[in-house]
Amino acid sequence: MTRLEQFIAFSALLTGEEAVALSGTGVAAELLAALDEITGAALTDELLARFAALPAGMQAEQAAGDSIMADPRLGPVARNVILLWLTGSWTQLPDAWRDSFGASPSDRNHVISAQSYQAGLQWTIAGAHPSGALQQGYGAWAMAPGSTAP
Amino acid sequence: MMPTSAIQDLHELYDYLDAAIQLEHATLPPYLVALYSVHPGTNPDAVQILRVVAVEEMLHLTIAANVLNAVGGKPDLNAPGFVPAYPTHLPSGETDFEVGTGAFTPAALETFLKIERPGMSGRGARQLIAKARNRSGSFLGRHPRDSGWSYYSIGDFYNAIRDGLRTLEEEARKSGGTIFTGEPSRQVTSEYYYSGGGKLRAVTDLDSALAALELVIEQGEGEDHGIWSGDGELSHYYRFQQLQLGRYYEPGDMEPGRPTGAEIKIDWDAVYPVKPNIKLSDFPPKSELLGVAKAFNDAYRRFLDLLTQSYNGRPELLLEAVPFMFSFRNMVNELIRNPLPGGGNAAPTFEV
Repeated sequence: MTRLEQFIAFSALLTGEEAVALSGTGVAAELLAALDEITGAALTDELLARFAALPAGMQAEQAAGDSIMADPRLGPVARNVILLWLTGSWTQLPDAWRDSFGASPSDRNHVISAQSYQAGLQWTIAGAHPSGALQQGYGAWAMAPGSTAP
Repeated sequence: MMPTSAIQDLHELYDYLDAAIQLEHATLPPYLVALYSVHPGTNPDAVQILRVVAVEEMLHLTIAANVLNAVGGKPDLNAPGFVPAYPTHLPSGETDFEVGTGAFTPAALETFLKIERPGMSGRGARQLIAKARNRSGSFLGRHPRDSGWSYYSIGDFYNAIRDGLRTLEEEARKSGGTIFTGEPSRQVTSEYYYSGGGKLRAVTDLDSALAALELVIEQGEGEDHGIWSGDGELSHYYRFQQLQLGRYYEPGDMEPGRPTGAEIKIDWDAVYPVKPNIKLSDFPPKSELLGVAKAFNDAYRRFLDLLTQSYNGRPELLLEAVPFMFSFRNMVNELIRNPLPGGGNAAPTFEV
């Protein structure tokens, strides 16, 4: 498994989306690069190593809660990865985390790119569209979210 | 006097208009797969041109349905064989090339230029006549290769329809009748169809039918073989040619093949390597990806059903069909951005 494939598999566990959906956004490599840049590739590798060590199947989620989400250093970063996928944007880590583990200059609220904004999972989960970026059809705003879903 | 039209009775006219609807639809999977094969955020010129052309083909589809309805026919986009198995010849019968689904490549662009190429009709002695054809059954359900007619271009095919409409209407008028017996409420007009390019007007008589088809020809190949259409729009052929020549036409450019506008750069590497003419059998069995491909085909079948209902007396359903279409665009992207284990990327298979 390549590092990108590991990141996608890890993100599938975090977000509850299928790997094909995450890979299908076209921005997985960009999000991984952003994570590496903001909190350092070494920290990403640590997250991926913890993920790789999780038991397979149904127990993975519970085990991830204990070994990743409850970890004071890795937990907040993993939560940020969820936000990254949902919004295509980076959200600044909590002050406590920055005080304890160091504040990266790129750890500030910012949109990663126009593409990542459009690919944010929040839109499809809500049955909506990124405003002003992807057309949804004339008059679609009058229809209930999800009513035109395939 | 012997009729000179290739279309000699109403049933032949229905066959041609069924084929026209099938033809307009058949261009869409090749254009859309190429469009969505471009990496997000790259190649804005190619993306814009492919998108505009695809949207106008959707308008042409609706125009063809309006003309068929006007003469009392019944559009059916769910008939067996309506969606071709790619690669395929076009239903207009061009024999020297096939169209298929795949990535945006120089070869694909070459094919798109052939799809939209200017016709031969009206050019001196080069009259094109439909081949003698098998009269059994309707066009739909038969393979386009067996259509029994062969036109050099889509424009030539539509000109044959225009000739047929004139001839048959003239015959009908001699006995005090008309071929335009369709129910006007079956016409899809602009209030049901929001389109950037081209007006959608009701087809109720010979003049409105000829004007509607003229718009289709002009948007495809240009007016009188020129670069521009009557209302100053660049035709599809010359839009695509700009990508091949790497330069935009500018208002005032009159010489085909010599655009003088801004330069166009294409990054051919910023394209997902979609497996050409992919079928469900190319997907790994029981994979998530196969699930998406099947879900797309199900959605597409329902979309064609919605269009068929829209074109059969319920035009207001088009208002739902368009957002539905945009909602399965996500599946198209998802497929195209995922690699297949055997090499190449996935894509929708359009096996409905």
